[in-house]
This record gives sequence, C-alpha cells and structure tokens, in this order.
Amino acid sequence: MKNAINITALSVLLFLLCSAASYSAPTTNRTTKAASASYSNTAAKTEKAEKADNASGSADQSTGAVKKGKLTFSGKVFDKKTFEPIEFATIVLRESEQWAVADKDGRFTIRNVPAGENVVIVSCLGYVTDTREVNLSRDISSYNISLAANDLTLEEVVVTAQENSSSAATSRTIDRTALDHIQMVNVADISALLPGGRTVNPDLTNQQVVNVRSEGSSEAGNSSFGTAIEVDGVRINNNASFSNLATGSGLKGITTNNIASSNVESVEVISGMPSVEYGDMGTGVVKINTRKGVTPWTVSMSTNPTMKQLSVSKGFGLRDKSMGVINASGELTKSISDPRSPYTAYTRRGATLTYSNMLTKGVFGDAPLRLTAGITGNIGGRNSEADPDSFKDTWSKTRDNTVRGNLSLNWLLSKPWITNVELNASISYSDKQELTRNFATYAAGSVALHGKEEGYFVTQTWESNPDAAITLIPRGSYYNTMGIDDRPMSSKVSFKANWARNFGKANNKVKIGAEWSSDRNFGIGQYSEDMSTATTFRTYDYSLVPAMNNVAAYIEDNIVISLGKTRLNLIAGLRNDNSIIRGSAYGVTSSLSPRFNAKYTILSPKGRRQNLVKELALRASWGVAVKQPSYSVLYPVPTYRDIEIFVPTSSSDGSAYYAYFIMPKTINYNAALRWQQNRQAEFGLETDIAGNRISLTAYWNKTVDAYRMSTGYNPFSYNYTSAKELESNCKIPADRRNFVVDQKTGIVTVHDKFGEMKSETIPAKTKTGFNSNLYANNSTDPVTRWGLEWIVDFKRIKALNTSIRWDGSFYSYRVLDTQIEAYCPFTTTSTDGTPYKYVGYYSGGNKITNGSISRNLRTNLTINTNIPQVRMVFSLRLEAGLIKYSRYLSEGADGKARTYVISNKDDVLSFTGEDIYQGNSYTVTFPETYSTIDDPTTRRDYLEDLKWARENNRAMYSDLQKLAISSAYLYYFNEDYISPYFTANISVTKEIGDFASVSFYANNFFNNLGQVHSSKTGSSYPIGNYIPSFFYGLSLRLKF
Amino acid sequence: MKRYLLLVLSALMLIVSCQEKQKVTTAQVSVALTYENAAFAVEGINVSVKETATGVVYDALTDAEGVASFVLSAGLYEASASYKVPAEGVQDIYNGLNTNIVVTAGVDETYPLNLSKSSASQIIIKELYNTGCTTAEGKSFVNDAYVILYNNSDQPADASKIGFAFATPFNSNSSSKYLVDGALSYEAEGWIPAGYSIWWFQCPVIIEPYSQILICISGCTDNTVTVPASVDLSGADYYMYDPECGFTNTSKYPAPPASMPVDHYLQTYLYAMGTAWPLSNTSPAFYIIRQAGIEEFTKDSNNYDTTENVKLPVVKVPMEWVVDAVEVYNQTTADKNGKRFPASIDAGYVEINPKNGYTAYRNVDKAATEALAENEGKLVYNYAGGTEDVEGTTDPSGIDAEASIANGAHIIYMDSNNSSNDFHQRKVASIKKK
Repeated sequence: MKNAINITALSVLLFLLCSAASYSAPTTNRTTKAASASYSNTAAKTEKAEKADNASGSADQSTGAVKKGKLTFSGKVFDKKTFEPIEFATIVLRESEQWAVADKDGRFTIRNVPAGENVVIVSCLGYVTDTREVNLSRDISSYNISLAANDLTLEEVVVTAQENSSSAATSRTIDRTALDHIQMVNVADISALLPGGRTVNPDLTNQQVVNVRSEGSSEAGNSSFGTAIEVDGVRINNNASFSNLATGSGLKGITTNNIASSNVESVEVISGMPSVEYGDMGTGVVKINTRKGVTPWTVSMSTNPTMKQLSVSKGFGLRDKSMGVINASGELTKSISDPRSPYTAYTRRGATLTYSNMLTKGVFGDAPLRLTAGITGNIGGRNSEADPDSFKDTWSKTRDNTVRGNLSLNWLLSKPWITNVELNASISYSDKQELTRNFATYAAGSVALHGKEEGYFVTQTWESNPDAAITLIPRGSYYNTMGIDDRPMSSKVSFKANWARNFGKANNKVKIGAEWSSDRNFGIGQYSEDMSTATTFRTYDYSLVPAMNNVAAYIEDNIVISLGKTRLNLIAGLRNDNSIIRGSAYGVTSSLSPRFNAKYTILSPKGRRQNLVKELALRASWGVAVKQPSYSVLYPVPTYRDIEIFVPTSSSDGSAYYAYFIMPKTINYNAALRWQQNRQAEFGLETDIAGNRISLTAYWNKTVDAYRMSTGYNPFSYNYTSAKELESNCKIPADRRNFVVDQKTGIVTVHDKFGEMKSETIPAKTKTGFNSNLYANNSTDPVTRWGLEWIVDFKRIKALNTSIRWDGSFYSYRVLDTQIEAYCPFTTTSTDGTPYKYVGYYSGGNKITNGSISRNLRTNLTINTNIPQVRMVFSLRLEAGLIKYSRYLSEGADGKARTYVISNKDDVLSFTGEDIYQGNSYTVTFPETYSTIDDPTTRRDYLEDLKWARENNRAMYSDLQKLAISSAYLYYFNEDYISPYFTANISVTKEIGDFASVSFYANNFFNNLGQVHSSKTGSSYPIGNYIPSFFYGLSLRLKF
Repeated sequence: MKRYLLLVLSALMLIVSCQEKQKVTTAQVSVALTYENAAFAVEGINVSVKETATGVVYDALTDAEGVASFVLSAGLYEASASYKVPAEGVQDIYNGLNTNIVVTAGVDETYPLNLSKSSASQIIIKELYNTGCTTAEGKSFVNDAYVILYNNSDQPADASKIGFAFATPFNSNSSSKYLVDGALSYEAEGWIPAGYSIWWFQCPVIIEPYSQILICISGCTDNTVTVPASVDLSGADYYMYDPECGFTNTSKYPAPPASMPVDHYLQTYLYAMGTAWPLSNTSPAFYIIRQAGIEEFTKDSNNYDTTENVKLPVVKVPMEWVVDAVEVYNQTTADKNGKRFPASIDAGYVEINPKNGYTAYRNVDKAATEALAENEGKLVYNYAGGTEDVEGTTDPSGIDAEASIANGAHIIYMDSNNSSNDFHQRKVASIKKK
C-alpha cells in the first residue's frame, strides 16, 4: 500500500513536471494582457508630485511599451506618513520567486521578471507588510509602495494569529504586536492564540514543549517530539537526547524555554501539511523569526509575580548601511515557580547577533545575493543552590546553555532555467548538564555498583581497586555531586533551487532541494565528582555513540492555473530521507514522504466589494511526514540487573563485602524498527461573507509506528550463597575474612587475611529466574486524531473601533493499543520462595487500560478595541471549555475481551458477564497468554489455567494471580464529562508617542475559583486544573 | 411627676442591666458510655475529654448510669475511656474513643462513647522507636528502627508464633480509603490490613517473665558510630531481618554482624512490591499478631485486599489474631491524623514528634507494679524521661521503669489497649545509654 502511494505521488509529480516542460519550449513568453490602465509614465514627475500620488494611495506606476520576454520591475519603498525612504525593505514577487532589497533611497530593481500576473509582497521590520497583485506587461520603473508603521495609530491593529491566506495548508502567523500584547515569555505561550487555544500562565521553571493538534504528553504518539521548531531556519530538536523514552514517558519535543522571547519578530505555526522542504517531523512546524533590520534602541522591561525580564536590542547599519545591517539583542529573564519561595529559579541570558546584507555589485549586478548570518546563544538554566529550604549544601542545577549559528545565501539568478538558489547551513549546540549535590549517611558500610560486565563480583574498597565493579562506601556521612553531561549538537546544510515560470494562464514553480543533517552528542553521560562515595550508577559515554546523519532530497511542483475567474493551486511534492548511522546495525534507513496540497479559489476578493460573498476558497491536502528517532530510541541508556548473591556478615567497622551477579539488560537491536510516520489530511474553507471572514478547517491525523520501548524476558540461572551456609562452613573469624567470588561461577571462597587458617569454599545453590531486556519498538496500532478548527473574524465595527473574533476547536483522540507486550514481576518471589516464574503477555501491556478516547470542544471570543487617537488597544478574551470528555478503553485485538467485570474486587474470577463500559463496576484485566520459566517458548491460555489452578493448585493460583490487574475504583471505565468551565482575560497596550509603550494583562481577572464536576467520579474538582489562576503582568518598552 | 421619673429611671436601669448580662461561654456536656448499643452502666470509670486545639485534658468519673459530666468551653473535643474488668487470668478490657464532640456555648448535650471489648496480653509492645533522629549535619536519619517486646507477666511467654505488621495507610495523616461514613470498613468484617509483608520468627523464642527481646526493624548495626544521636543495634541477642528475605535495600538492611546468630533472623514474604518494609518513620499503626502458619496465610491471595492500591495488596489479618498494637500519630500533623485501628485493637494513640530520637514507650501500671512484693525498695520514682517539657507526654505513674529494672524491680506495664493511656513520648530510646 505504501509503495502504491509512493508510485502515485511520483506519477502526479512527473505529470506536473512534464506539463511544465511542455510549456517551457518557447524561448519568449507570450505577452500578457495590456498593462493596467492605472499605469502611467512618471519620468517627468517631480518628487513632490510623486509623494502626492503615493499619499493618495496610488502606488502602481510604470514606464515603457508593452514588451515580450523579461521585464524589469523597479520602484521605491517609503514611509506612508513621513515619506522617508525605507532602506532594507524586502520586495518579493511571489509568483516568480524573485526579490530585492531596497537601498538607502528606498529604491529597488528586479530584473528578468516574467510578464504576467504576480503578487508583490513588501515587508520591513517595524512596518505593516503590504501585499498586492500586479499584472506585468512592460518594464516598470517606479512602482512606489508606501508602508505604514506598525504601531497603534493604525486603524486596525492585529493582536491575534493571522491566517496565511496564500498558503494551501493551514498556517497562521503571530507578529510582534500580538506577542507584545500577550507578553510572551516562552514561545510555547503562543498556543493560546491558535483556534481554541487555552491560556496558560507563563512559567519557565517547567520545561515547556509545543504540541500542535494534540493535547500533550498524556497522549500516545510522541506528539511534541514530532513538532518541528526552527529559529531563523535553525532546526532545534531532541534527536540527540538520551532521555525520555526509556523511562516510559514517551518522547518529548525540545523545550522552548531557552529561546529569548523579546527578540522574536514573528512566529508562524504550520498546522497543516507543510512543504516537502520540512522533514524530520510529525505534525506541525513552528517557525520563529527574530528581528532583522535597522531599528532604534529598544529596551523592554517585563514583570509578573514569578518573572522579571530586561532586554535591549538594536539594529545597526554598517558604514551608512552599505555594508549591511547588524541586529544585536540581549535579554535577561529570571523566573521562579513559587513567589513564596523565590530561590529555585530559572535564568535565561540570551543574546542574538544577526548580520544581513545584499550584494548587488560586480558579478552580483544582475544576480543579487542576499546573505544572512546569525548567532544566538543562551546561558542559563535552573538552580536551587540559594534555596534555604534545601538541606545544607545540597542543591540541583540544570544548565540550559545553547548556541545556534546559521548562514543563509540566497542568489537570485533569474535565468530561464533557474530562478534562484539558496544555500543554508546551521548548527545548534547545547549544554544541558544536570548536577545534583546530595548528602548521605551510611550507618553501616554500603556498596555501589559500577561494573558493566556480566558476571559475579565481590565488593572491594575504593583504595584497593578504583575500577572495581562493586566498591565499598565505608561507614560515614558524605556529600557527593552527581552529574549528567548531556551536550547534543545538530547541524544541517541544505541546498535549494527554485524555478518559476508562467505558461499562459498557469504559473508553475518547481523546487528541488537536498540537505544533509547530523545529530550527535558530546556529553559523557552520568558521572560523579567523587567515585569513592558515588552511589550505584553506570557510565555511558554519549560521545561514543555514532552520529546520526540524514541525507534528504526533495522535489516539489507548485502550479497555479487560472480557470476563468477561478484559480486552482496544486502542489505535489516528494521527499526522500535516508538516515545513515555508521557503525550501527541500523545502517541506512530510507523513507518517502509524498505530500499534496490543493487550493481552489472560487471567488477572489478583487472586484467583489459590493457582493455579499466576497471571497471563497477551498483547500485540501494529504501527506506523510516521517520523524527520525532520537538516540533514546536507537541507543537507550543501558540498564543492569544486579542480583545480590551473597550477603556476608559485617565486620566490626561496619563493612560488608557483598557479592552481586551483574547482568546487563542488553538492548537488542530491532531490525524491524521503522521510523515513525504521521499521515495527515485536511480540508479547509475560507470565505468572506459581508465582511465577516470565516476560516474552517477539518483535519484527520494518524500516527503510525510510534516509537516505544518494549520488554522481553529470558530465563537465566545464577548461583547463590546464603548466610546460613557461611555460618555453617566458615570458621575464619569475621574480621579476618577475605571474600573472593569466582567471576564466572559465583562460588564464594573465604581466605584468612593473615594466611594462617585454611581457605574455605562456601556451598552455593542455583536459582533460576527471569531477566528483562529493553528494546526499541514501534506501536502497531495507530493513534488517530481528528478535529475541526474555526476562526470567524466579524466585520469590524468602525463606530466602536472594535473587531470581534470567535475561534474554537473540536478535537477527538483515540488510541487502542493491542500490541502484545510481555510483563513479569521478576523481582518478586513465588510462593515457594524461588524467583517469580511466569511471564504474562498482554494486549497493550500490563495495564488496566490499553486505550482511551477523548473529545474536547473549546471556544474563545476575543474582542479587540483599538483607539488610534490615543494609541491604545484593549482586548477582552473569554475562554470556554464546553466539552471535555474522556474514557478509558480496554479491548484486545479484534474486540477480544481483556478486562472483565467482577462482583468481588478481591476475587479475580467472580465474573458477572457485564460490559465494562456500563461503568460503576470493579474489573480485572488478564494477560491473554503466559509462559513458564520451564517452557518459555510455549504460550499457554492464562484464564483457563488460572481457573484450573484455583481448584487444583493454590500456590500456582496465587502466583498466577500476580499477573492479573484489578481496578481499585468502581468508576474506572465510566465516561468522564467535565462540566463546562470559563475564564476571562484582559490585555491592554498603550503607546506613549513613538517613545514608549506599556502592556498589561490579567488572566482569569474575575478570579474564578469555582469547581468542575466529573461525571466519572461524581466528584467536583478545583477549576484551577483547567483554567489559569488569577495572574497578571506588566511590560514597558522604550525606543530611542 | 417624681414618681414617673423614678419609674423611667428604674426601667432604664433594668434595660442597662439586661444589656450587660454575662455571655454564656460554656456548656454542660455529658459523655454516656455504651457497649453494643446499650448503656454501660458502671460507676467510677474515668472518662477523659481532651480539647483538640489545646491538648488540655479534663477527667470525670461515671455515675451509676455510666455517664460522666463536664462543663466545657465551646470547641472541639475527643472523649476516651478505658476500663479493665478485675479478673483472674485473661482480663477483659473495654475501650472507647469519640473524636467528634463539638461543644457549642450554652447548648447542653450528651455524647455517646461506644466501648469495644478486648483482652490483655502476656506479650506486649514495650517500646517502638521508628521516627529516627538527626545527624550531626542536621539531616534526619531513620534507618535505626526497632521494637521491644516484653513479657508483662510472671510466667515465661512463648513468642515463637508472633508476627509483626502495620496497618495502612502508612502515615496517620494520610487519607484512608477504608474510611467510609466515618467508620473503618474492615472493622465490621473483622479484619485489619497488613501492608507489604508480615515478619515472623524462624526459631523458638521464649521471653522470660518481666523480660524483653529487641527486634531490629532496620539498620542492625551500631548506628551511633556515624550518627551519635542514634542507637546501637548490633547486640548479639537482638533479632533482625533475614538479609536474604528478598528486600534488597542495603541502607535499610545492612549485613548483620557476625556475632548475631542466623536463627535470630526474621523471615517474611513480600506480597506487595518494594525493596524495604516501609514502616512509617513518622506515624505507623504497628501491631503484633500470634498465629501459626503466618507464611502460608500471607502467600494465599484469597487473603488479599486491594482497596487502597491495586498493585499493593494488603493481607486481611483477622482481628482476633492481634496480640498488641500501638497507633502512632504524627504530632506535627495533628489536625489531619486519623485512626487505623478500631477501638477493640487500640482505642487511642500516642503522638510522636518525628526525627527527634523520641520513642513510643509504655507507661507503668503503678498499682500493679507496686503491688508486687519483690519490688519493695527497688522502684525508682520521679521519672524524667518524658517529653512533657516540649509539648509531649510523660508516664503519669512517675515510676522510672528503666531505672527500676536496672535496680532489680519487675515492671508491669499498662495494658488497656488504649495507647492514649498506655504510651507516652519518651525523650531518649531506652536502649540508649548516655
């Protein structure tokens, strides 16, 4: 099926490319329609007249006769109010993928522009982006564009997430005005501005991740791990992380805590299926763009009950700006989790340096080159050293240091066979070292196991053998600092070529790219600053793990066809990723990601001002995204089974030389491991009815082959020497005993330290039990999500300077895990005193539930009033959770029962025959089959044997029953409807001239402290679990 | 006119005097003893009423109807009573505790105090040390718990079938899922929970009259070397955990000294999960049972209950197996503590302030001890080992039991199955010799 999809994808792509090629045969373009009547020759116009034209809003001006072939498009960009030229404004022709940057006079020129319809997008830091359509049929020498300063004097100030109308996939952008208005501290805070988003009070002391179209880490499918996050094109990820999955909590995405929030210019969230440019992802791309361009000195100060922030930024022009622009910023943020104990704090010291320039001279005269280079860093982390509540001289610190560098070269060639090429390189290096200083008292000597080799080992003193597998920690009190050295690094180089051409009524853009990325970790893993008193741990040098490289290639065709008054946009792309792990059994793993997007614009707004329906567009997409694994999947930190096989008597100084059998829990290479995939489809509708803009999106998202860890069990035997045998067989006094354990057999021999008494070998007994092995695996059952998102921007009420937005989302989630997973409580003993001897095989694992469903309906009403005269914007946001539903599931494959209702919670066989979903009943969950230590390969019917054992073998019944899981609550499988809950937030931003602006917000300003009712338990719970507590913040921004 | 003026003045005086009438701040409160839903009409039983907020205790004797009367200020109180029936051999003991007495000023009311019947035992818990102490660096140290069993009679006592257990929840300030409508659900079913595992002896154990044995619950080593405030548990005659019992926490269960014979090891079967027996180090409900076949009983899953935690079953111990018990409350969480033992097991509690080296130590039965002829001239008075000077408790008998034993006396301890009467918070562990 997968191959069929790939073949289909390639076929469509080839068809599109062939179509494009058939159009490209002529060397000259057909001349488009006659130039717009609004064009006029402006050569003789004076500067004054030009200003007058622009002030009146007439921006399009042209010169020359109708031409065939390539055209020149030039003009000027200036401030709408002051008429000053805007240097470094970026002018992009969207359809032909050409661009220019305005010079010191605001002038720009784009050569070799194909004739035809195009879209001009003009943007500059501090100004409102201008987008307009243009029909090019001749050279245009003075296309004048005025940009309005992005401040609160605007008639309409945008402080919400804006739909990217040109995108065929769902994409929304939140710009700086909105970020200032909500006083973003962490990039994750922007989730509140997405449809149905929920406001969360800012907190940097918790590691925040971004989930797109998911309810977070409680769900299966590693959703945040699949969210791609880029800062100025630098991908930041958790691929080189060794944490998370082995602990069973699922893979988490990279935290956004260390991204300096004050220098973010905009954040774009692509929720739908993105371009094939974006790989190594599941659902959602979050693109964070920092400030680039000339800016005044900007100082901002923010405060709330748990955070203080100070930032400074400035955009400098070098040598009168001819050498480019440097943006520099610095930020200091200190956050605490509890104002009552302001000692454990997270500190962020962020700095950014960005250089951007455009080379237009010499060889770049006709083919300008845009260069952007940046470096971003943070020094900070979490530190509890100052906390007086901690025990004396104990603390924990977690570094969150990072440095990110990027270089981007964009060369506009404007050749018939290629439009532009782009080369990007980036690197991200982090230091996430964790340090914990502990204090421990050992009243008797203790042992610490550090050996990684399999075998029997006896305790030795640190002084006699610092490399011993087991070391003695002598009686006493010690401080010890343990650390985890975690230094992941990701690097990436990508090359992309674009080729755009018009063919009659069709505009075709082809994008071809290749990229190489690499992840590795330079940390040494866990360590101790003093191994002589370090507790049990094993070293695992992260830096010895081979790098995970990924080579990808992609091709995408984007064609826009005008069909009468309608317009059809089709995008087809295919991406091939090849993960290469040298020196690893995983070798090279290849995957394909086909993606399709289509947008059909039935009604365009142009010329429909008087119509009821001013705009109508439909869009649909389907695609596959593949997420590379992290190191915690490929190379989980090994764990060990340490079995005490000999407990000696202690000597007079409290020292005891225990012996252990150390057994590595080998991580089996899983040849069948597949890379996790997300298959996503969505259908969208955008319309404008009588000035009311409506955006509606339905999506379906299926995560398959989600990464997980599984456990296998194998029987093994070891020799054990009891204290009773020692007492019976050893005549050497305790203080003179020197224990030696054979590494292979485990036989204990006691020698006399003084050599005067004969050595004695202590008899041992053999015990047999199970040992476990962890290995990376995929979930065979998918995680399915679907939902609806809507945004309704009502027609602005001009009389009140007010706009109203109603947004919301309906979200549905379902997972049923029927994968057979083994479980054995092997550290317990059977009733006969031997190690536990059964392994249960459960559908979905050793849990009462193996699935869940949930549905949420959330909606928000945002009322924004901006008063340009006083330069103020006020927002009132009402958030409502109308439906919050969840229910646990327990079903085997093909609907087979795995959980039964019982009448007596302590009698696992007291079946009532009722349906577990009727609720209000005690239940028991069984493994489907089990195996015994004597015959580990045969799967026996668990329930049948349990019933037999109950009547015939009580000991076996008691032992087998340990594999059954009873529910402690009657309501476990009840449906859970949480009663609706509401909250209200306000935000105010006021500008004081061009010099200062002040923002204030209050979340839950009614201080709603109510309760919600749960239909599952019949109880009420504090509403604080669902809405933010009353919280407020203030920020001041100064420009000079 | 003058008459009217006088009348008006008189009326005014009357009104003023009425306005200044004294506010009623107390109430007449009666506590009526009951047993099996009938009045327990025994005269002369001491009933104690303790004000929860202040800890102030008021005592009164019952009248012929079994009712004790008090005049109390408004507030929250708890009433308790203990009555031992004079008899030969096994004694019947009646205990009761009512923690829900709300006194409203000016409202006279009678509150019932339901008594439960139990029996006095030959083997008793003399001392439980479980809340640890503090290291020289200021950190708490709890791996030094022990319990002392004592033969409270003049006949040798066979402790071979004694087992050690604790009721759940572990801590007195944790909410209990067994508490339904103010009553412990297992009481009506005739059992009490035993968390994690029950320890038992592996050899015959005889306790001589008025003698004791010490069982190390953890840290069977001389803890004082490292933690001076702790205790030395390396005694060769002590009893301890079997290092091969399956618990692998070597800090809790360090290797025993060679001097300790292996038949002094206690064995157990872990029916829950963990690496150590998690006896609360603040406020356990500790008890001892006497029964043959404890091992088989704990291995039979028919005897398990999972009300509190599906993965941590408790064993349902029949209440008649219980020999003695002590309910420890955490003094620092006074307003959250709750009973885990029904009144027939332990009608009261002893409060311990954790981590200070304090122990729950048995009070001396003054009358019975003084009545022993062999104690003539051997009893030491003016006991100063209590913690009444730090808002704790002391032995009301005034007899210094340890000094008297050292002096050759035989001590009979209180055994009313009511820890409020039977125990006090002792400042220093009895085995700790200064």
